[in-house]
Amino acid sequence: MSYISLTFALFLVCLLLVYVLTPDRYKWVTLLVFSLIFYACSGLDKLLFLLGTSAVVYGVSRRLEAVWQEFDRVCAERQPDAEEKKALKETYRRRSRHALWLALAVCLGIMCWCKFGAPALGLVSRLTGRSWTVNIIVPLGMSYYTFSAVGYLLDIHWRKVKAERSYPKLLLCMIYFPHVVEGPISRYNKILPQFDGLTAPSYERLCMGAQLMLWGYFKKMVIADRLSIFVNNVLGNIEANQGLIFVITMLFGAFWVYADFSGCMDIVTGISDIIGVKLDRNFNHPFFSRSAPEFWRRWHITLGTWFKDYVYVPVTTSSWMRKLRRWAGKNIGPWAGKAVMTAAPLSAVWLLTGIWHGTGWNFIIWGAYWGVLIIASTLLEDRINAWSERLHIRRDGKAWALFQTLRTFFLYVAGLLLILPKDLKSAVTAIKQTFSTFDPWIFWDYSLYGHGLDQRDMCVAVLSILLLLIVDGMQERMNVRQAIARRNIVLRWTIYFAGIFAVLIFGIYGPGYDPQDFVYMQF
Amino acid sequence: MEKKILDILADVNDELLTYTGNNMVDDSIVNSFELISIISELEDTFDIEIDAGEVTEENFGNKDRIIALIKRMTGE
Repeated sequence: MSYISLTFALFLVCLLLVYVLTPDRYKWVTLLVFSLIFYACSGLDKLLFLLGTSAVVYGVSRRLEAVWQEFDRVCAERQPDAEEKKALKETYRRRSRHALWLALAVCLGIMCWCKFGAPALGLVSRLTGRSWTVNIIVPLGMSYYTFSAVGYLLDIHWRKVKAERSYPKLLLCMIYFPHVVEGPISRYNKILPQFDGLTAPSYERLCMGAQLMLWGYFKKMVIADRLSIFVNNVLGNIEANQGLIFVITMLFGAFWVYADFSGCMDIVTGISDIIGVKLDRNFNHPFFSRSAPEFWRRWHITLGTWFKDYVYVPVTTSSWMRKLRRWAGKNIGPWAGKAVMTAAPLSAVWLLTGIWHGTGWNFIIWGAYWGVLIIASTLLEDRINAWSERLHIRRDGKAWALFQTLRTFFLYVAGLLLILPKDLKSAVTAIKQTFSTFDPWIFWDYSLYGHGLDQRDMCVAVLSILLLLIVDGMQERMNVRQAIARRNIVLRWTIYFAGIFAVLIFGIYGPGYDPQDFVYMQF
Repeated sequence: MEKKILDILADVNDELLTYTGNNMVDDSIVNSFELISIISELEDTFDIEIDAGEVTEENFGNKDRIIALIKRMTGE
C-alpha cells in the first residue's frame, strides 16, 4: 500500500477513528493490528518473513538479557574483586556473544540473501554455464527493520538498553507502519516507551502533523514525481543525449532524490506525530552543508548514526585496530597512527554504505568516492587550515560559506552521475556524453521540453525547487512550522489551502498515471 | 590524573572544558572522529581498553563523566 494512494488515505482515516475510540492503554494494540494489515497488503509471504525475524530477535534479546541478569546475580553473591569481576564479565560476554552471533547470522543472512541472492546466482550461472534461478521474496522495508533490530540486539549485548518483555510490543516496534517502508531507522529504546503513553490526538497535534504531511506530499507529488519524468527520460536514452542536458539531469536528479526521500519522511513523521510517536529526524537541510562530512551528518541521519554506532565505533575500538594504530604510530610516525585510525573504519563504513545502496559496481565506486572525500577532508583539515591562513582567505565571511556550500552540493551532484544511471557502463557513457559537446543553446532553443516535461511543467519544477530551497533556508534560522501555527487563522488557513491546491493542481497523479514508488523503498 | 584527562580534551577542543551539557556529540562540541581521537589518547595514556559498549552518553557525555569513567577503569 503506497503512502500516495486513496487506499492509504482510507486506511489512515479508519485507523484514526478506531485509535481515538480505543482506550489509551490499548492504543498500541490498535497500532499493531493496523500495522499488520498495512504490512500484509504487501504480501502474506513477506509478513511471514518479518514475523519469523521478529521471533528470532525477541528470543535472542530475552536470552541476552538473561545472561546479563545472571552475571549481576553472580556478582552480587560472590562480591568479586576488580580482576575477578573482569574475568567473570569476559565469560558472560562470550555467552552473550554466542546468542548474538546466531541472531546476527539470521537477520543479516536474510538481508544479504534478499539483496545479493539474485546477482550471486547470476554469477554462479555464468560460471557454471547452468541456469540457476530462484524466486527471491524481498520483505517490505527489510533493510530498515533489520538494521533497527541489529542495533537493538547490539545495545542489549553492550548493556546499553534492557530487552523488551512483551513480544507484541517488540513486533509493533519492528512493523510500525510509518517507519517500516523506508525508515527512519529507529532506535527501539526510543520508540518502545512511547507505546505506553499513547493518547488521542489533540487538535494542535492533528494540525501540526497534517501540516508536515502536506509539505511532504508537495515535495513528493509536485517536485519529485515531476523531476523523475525528466531524469528517467534522459537516462533511459543516454546514447541519444549529450552535453549540458546531463548537467541539468543531475541537478534535477539531486532535487528529485532529496524531495522524494525527505518528502516521504515528512509524510510518515507527520502521521506519527498525529499518533503521538516521535520518530527520529532523517534530514536536516543537507544542501546547506559546508563540507562532505557535514553533508552526511544531515542526509539520511539515522543511517549515518547507525553506521557510526554499530560499525565505526566498534571497528575503531576493536583490539586489532588498537594494535594496528599503536604499531603504525610507533613504527612509522604519529601521523600514521592517525591515518590508520581514520582510513580503516571510514573505508569499512563507506564500502558498506555503497553496498547498502545497491549491488552494482557503480554503487561500490560511489561508496569509495565518498569514503575518499571524507577521509581526505579529515586528514587534510589541519593542512587546509594552514594554507587558507597563508593565502589570507577569510574563513568567517559569507562568500567563503557560500563557496563551501556550493562545493559540497557539486560533490553530491557529481556523485549522482555514478548511481542514477542503471549500471556502471551507463554511468561511464553518461560521463563521456556530458563532456562530448558544449551546447548552452539548449536553454533557449526549446529542446529541453522534449524530455517528458513541457514548458508549464518545467516552470512548475523550477519554481517549486526554488520554494523548497527558500523553505529549507528559512528552517535553518527558525521553526517554520511553529511560525505558521502561530499566525492568525486567516493567514494560517490561506497557507494550508494554498498547499492543498498546489498538490491537487500541480501534483503528478490522476487516471492512467501511477505515482512513482519512493526511491528509497527499494532498499 | 584529572589534569592529564583535561589536557587530552583541551587538545581536541577547548570548549570541552567549559561545556556543561550531557551529550557533547549531539551538541556538536566534538564530532565522531574527535571522540575516537579522545578515546585512543585515553587508552594510550592510561593503558586501558575502552570497548564499543562503553562509548555511551553516560560515559562520554561531558568531561566529568569521562573523568569518572577513567577513574573507574583505573581503579582510582
